[in-house]
Amino acid sequence: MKNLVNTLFVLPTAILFALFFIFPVGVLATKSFVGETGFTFENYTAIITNARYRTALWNSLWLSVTVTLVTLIIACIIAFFLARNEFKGKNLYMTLITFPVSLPGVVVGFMIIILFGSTGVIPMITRSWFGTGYGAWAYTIRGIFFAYLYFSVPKTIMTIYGSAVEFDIRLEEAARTVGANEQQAIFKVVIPTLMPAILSAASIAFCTSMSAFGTAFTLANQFEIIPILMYTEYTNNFNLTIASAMAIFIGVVCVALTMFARTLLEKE
Amino acid sequence: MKGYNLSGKILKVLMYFLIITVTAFLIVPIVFTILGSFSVHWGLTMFDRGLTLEWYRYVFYYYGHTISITLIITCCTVLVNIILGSMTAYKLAMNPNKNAHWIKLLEEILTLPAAIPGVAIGLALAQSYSGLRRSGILIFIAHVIFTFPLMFRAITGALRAKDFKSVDECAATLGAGSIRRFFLVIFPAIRVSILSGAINVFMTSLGEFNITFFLYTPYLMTLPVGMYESYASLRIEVGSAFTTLFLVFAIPLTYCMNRLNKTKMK
Repeated sequence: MKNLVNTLFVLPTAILFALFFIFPVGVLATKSFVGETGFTFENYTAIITNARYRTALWNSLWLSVTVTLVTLIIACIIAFFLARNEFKGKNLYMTLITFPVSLPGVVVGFMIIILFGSTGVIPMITRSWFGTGYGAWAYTIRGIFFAYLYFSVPKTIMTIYGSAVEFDIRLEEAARTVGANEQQAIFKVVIPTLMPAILSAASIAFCTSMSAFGTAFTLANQFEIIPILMYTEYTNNFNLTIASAMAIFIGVVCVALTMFARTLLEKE
Repeated sequence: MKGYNLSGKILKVLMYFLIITVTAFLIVPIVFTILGSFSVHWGLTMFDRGLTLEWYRYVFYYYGHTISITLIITCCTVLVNIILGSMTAYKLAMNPNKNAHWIKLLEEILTLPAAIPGVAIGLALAQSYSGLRRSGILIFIAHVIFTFPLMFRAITGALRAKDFKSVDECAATLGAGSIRRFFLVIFPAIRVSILSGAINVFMTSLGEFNITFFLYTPYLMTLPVGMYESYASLRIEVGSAFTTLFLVFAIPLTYCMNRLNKTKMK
């Protein structure tokens, strides 16, 4: 009887996960190795050998790297500023700037249309200043870049702020006492101490950019990246095996980076 | 020393400039979305033809069903995950050999859906269960799986924060059975964490697009899919009105979640 009750607590979740998570992901993985004559790696090698897929992979990679680097610089500065300064309305300010984290990808895409669309805020302002509108970038690669910044920056600020608040300022003061100048103290004491948080935030930003779909789908016209290409291969070209290989590829990258990020934060 | 001060000042000005730009970048589009939803015609200027509520009427008329479908799916997801998440987390946390390998592995699998990109889960479910798409049950199950880790983590975290194992054992020696201990002892003690987990699940399910886009049918559209359609094919004012309706749910919920997380830390 006791065993039965114990099982009842876990069994529903176990069945649900077995049927609707482990099994479908297994099917997806199997499908990615199916070729015309049985088992093959061709679907994976095609991502690199096929010119169109390679371009999309390359676009995804450099877009994600750029977004991650720019996000880190911006987020570090703001997170440090917030951690070191107290001002009236700080709580409200932090709630405001971290709100975009909870927005769905499609809405983030729309925010970029509002800012950089043809009648958007930036073209509207530049038109009133210079007579002609500039910055109607929404449906170009710049639009996607800004969109990824829009959700990466607040998320990264939150992670780094968390560690920056806990950073023991006496360490920095000690460095200054033994003769380090401000820059030396920052680059040799503060940043190395916060490195785990910075690296983990970076890997999360990278994998979010690699796998973001809704945002890019709202904005993408002429620009191909891996998640979008995966969708077109599945729906328009009925190329299920290639689509599965791409999904597994993005999945493995993201799971690996998420675990890396978590191990870093746990060590802290 | 003087030169150093000057460069320090320039750096400071640059820093303030950066902070103001980034803040504007994050906040301005939200404000303009709300403003734009009331504009008759958003052309070269925003209100050159006055104000209207017409676009809200339009959204309710053509997309009202997406809102009700989403609310049903989201509320069911939250309910199911409160039950499944707390039961599973409770049993795993109270297990006498909770550091055993198989429990660690199980926890790993249960939190995996949060790490796997939505598009991969969407494609996996779409090809394995295409027969279930029509009824909409697949969207609901997908939302349960995808948001389960959020609830599971919130509760596991709460159960680890205090020594609930001895509380549980104490109740057990007094004669309470598993189910009674769970509902009368553990559940009330971690209700704040469950509530904050529930809001998190609600928000995630409400805005879920990546998986749902692989599973929806034209008759069963969720709110984010409807929003996507309006962005892609309708006027910007309609998109703004639709987004504003979403914000009406999202802003208060985010605020509540922040408040809850603060009280939890205290």
